[in-house]
Amino acid sequence: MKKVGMLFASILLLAGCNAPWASDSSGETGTENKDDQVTIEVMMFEGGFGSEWVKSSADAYMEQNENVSVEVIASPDIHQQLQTRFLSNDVPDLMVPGPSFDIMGVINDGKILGLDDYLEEDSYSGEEKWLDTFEQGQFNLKRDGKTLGIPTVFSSGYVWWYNEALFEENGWETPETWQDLYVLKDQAAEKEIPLFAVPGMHPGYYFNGIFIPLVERIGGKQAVLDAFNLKEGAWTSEAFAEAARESQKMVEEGLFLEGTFGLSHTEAQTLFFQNQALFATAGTWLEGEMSDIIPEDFKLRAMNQPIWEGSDAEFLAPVSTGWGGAWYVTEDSENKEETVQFLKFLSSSEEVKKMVESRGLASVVKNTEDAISSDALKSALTVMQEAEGSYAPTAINDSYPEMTNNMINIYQSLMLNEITPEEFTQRAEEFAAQVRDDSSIQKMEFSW
Amino acid sequence: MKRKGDRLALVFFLSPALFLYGLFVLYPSIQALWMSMYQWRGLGEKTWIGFGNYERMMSDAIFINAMKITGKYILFQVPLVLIISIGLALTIANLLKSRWLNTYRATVFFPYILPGVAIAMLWATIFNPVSGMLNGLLNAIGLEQYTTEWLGRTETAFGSVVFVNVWSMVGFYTVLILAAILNIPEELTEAAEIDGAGKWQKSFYIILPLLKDVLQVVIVFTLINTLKIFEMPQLLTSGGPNRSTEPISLYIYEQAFQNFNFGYASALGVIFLILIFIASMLTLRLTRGEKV
Repeated sequence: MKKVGMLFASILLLAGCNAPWASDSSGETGTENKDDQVTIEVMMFEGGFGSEWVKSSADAYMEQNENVSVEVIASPDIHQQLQTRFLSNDVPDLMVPGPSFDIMGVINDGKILGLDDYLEEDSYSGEEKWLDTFEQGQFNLKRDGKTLGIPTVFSSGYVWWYNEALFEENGWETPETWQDLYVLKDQAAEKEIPLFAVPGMHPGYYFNGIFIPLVERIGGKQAVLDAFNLKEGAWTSEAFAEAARESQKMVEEGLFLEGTFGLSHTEAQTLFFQNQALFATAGTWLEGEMSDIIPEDFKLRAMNQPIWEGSDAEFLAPVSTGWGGAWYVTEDSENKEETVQFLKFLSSSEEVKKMVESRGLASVVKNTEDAISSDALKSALTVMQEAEGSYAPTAINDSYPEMTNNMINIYQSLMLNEITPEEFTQRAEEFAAQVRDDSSIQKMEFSW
Repeated sequence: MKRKGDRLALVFFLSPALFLYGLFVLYPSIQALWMSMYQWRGLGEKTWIGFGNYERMMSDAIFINAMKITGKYILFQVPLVLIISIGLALTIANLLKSRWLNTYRATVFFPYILPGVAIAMLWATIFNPVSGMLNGLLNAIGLEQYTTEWLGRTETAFGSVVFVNVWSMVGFYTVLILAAILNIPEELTEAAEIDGAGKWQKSFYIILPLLKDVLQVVIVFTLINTLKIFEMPQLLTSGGPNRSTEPISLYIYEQAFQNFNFGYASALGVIFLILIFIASMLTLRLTRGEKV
């Protein structure tokens, strides 16, 4: 009996040692008690931007903080691992989920930590507020006014890329107005070069790179916002109707490479780099993605979409929403403080500069521009700087993926001349109404 | 007692397979049926909606389109695979029975051993409208009016996907039928020859009727494989342009992994399962007829 009593007491004692309140009673948290070993688990999407820079920063951080161990798991299919981890309530501390993960689902479910209080704190260097270390143009990963994600890599929206050397060689000017495109088309036709090589197999590239920017140029920011906020009649508004008519006209007038609607994105981009078309639409990942085949004399530069003559719409620059590419601290992380501290380190200009230098990326962290060596990337940043503001043509992708897929599909039909512009806007409005009327879909309020 | 021992042995030897079948087939199927009653994004809370997903299906134009497209695949693919496989097998058996049989058999079978991704890449390159071999060939022989964006136009994308599927499937079925032909007792064909039957008469009146069993197997397999078609439309066209090549399986994938509607995707999966079950039952029933 005595033995049983002692065993029971021992179990209670051991349980007490492991209980969460045990450290509270001593007044010490994991951060304060330097003897406690803390492991921060990082799961990140590994795409064109790589993951070496994070691993290198993790090593540097561990050297500075001996009680912290940072484990980085990176994979192009990280979304599959993350989904099972979230389902089993075994979440990592920090993550970059990538484009295929349902980030909105976990946000709706309250699984992501709000970071506003931390952003008001000192940055890692302690010289300024953490929030002030970021360029604000792309710092908009907010839901219900709460900042949830921290972007570090700058990613423009779908801009237009061109070969500056080819333009210089032929004395061509980049188009300032949409109507200039047709002048350029005639000039380039003399060299038998069409204007656009787009991937017909992935129509999202020109839905986001031509159609939505065209709507913005015609109807201004408000026309896009009304549509994205599912305002009744927004998808049939004059701006959308005109943009649909113009899209079809661009095909009819031969602005697109013959055969382009049967190409994949790498095929279309390859043809662009072979100077078989003047423009390709893509984000800032283009240079990294196609680096193996870009000719040495190819001066890759980005330009903003031209303005629409006669419209007083704002001249905005497209930015990527970046939800999938941002950093998130999970609400159920057992090491929130330590994780945020590591994230501050990771997003400090010193660490980000290393990333910019090693990967040839641009960042939304201030004072890192000097480290950019790529002229293509610099030109994409210039697009941002020269614009009157920014907007996100891809903003609905994360919030209403089904609606976006449907819109893109019918846009492809429009481009293939299978439906009229009126039918396109009508069907788009119907898809928007389906989401608007479905109370089970959580609505997002977009504002730029 | 002996019978009881046999039964125990039966259970003992079957149990590992039954366990795996239960774990990887039955359990997920039942789970999918259960999940189809919920609205669920694949993460977080599930909301019970009863038959809501099934009601939605009835008015979902894209689902109805996917059903039609799947039907179209069956309509074109099953007869094409059957006819071409029989034709090839008969040709090889008739014309090359002696010397080149193995060479032709290996050549015909070759596409079947290629991975689906390799086949898709190969044909995507051939179909490439700008630098592809097909348009190049048409241009070279003066048929430039027939050049087109094979995988990018609604008029040609479906036919192109069916062609690639048939190309990749016929090898296996040809070899299957050929094996059956070579197993037909020679006395039968010799007797026909003595009676004055030519090669094609032998094929139609002697060989084909004797292939009934193997042809039934070919039909069952082709039908089920066509119902489950996913790989080629996904790799060649992603279901486009404007869903003109999107079968049900691809739509299920889209709903689950792109639109994050796991509840609805499960309901689609249940209907898909029922369809495959019905197709299997029908064909099994047909194949139960008397043997020749």
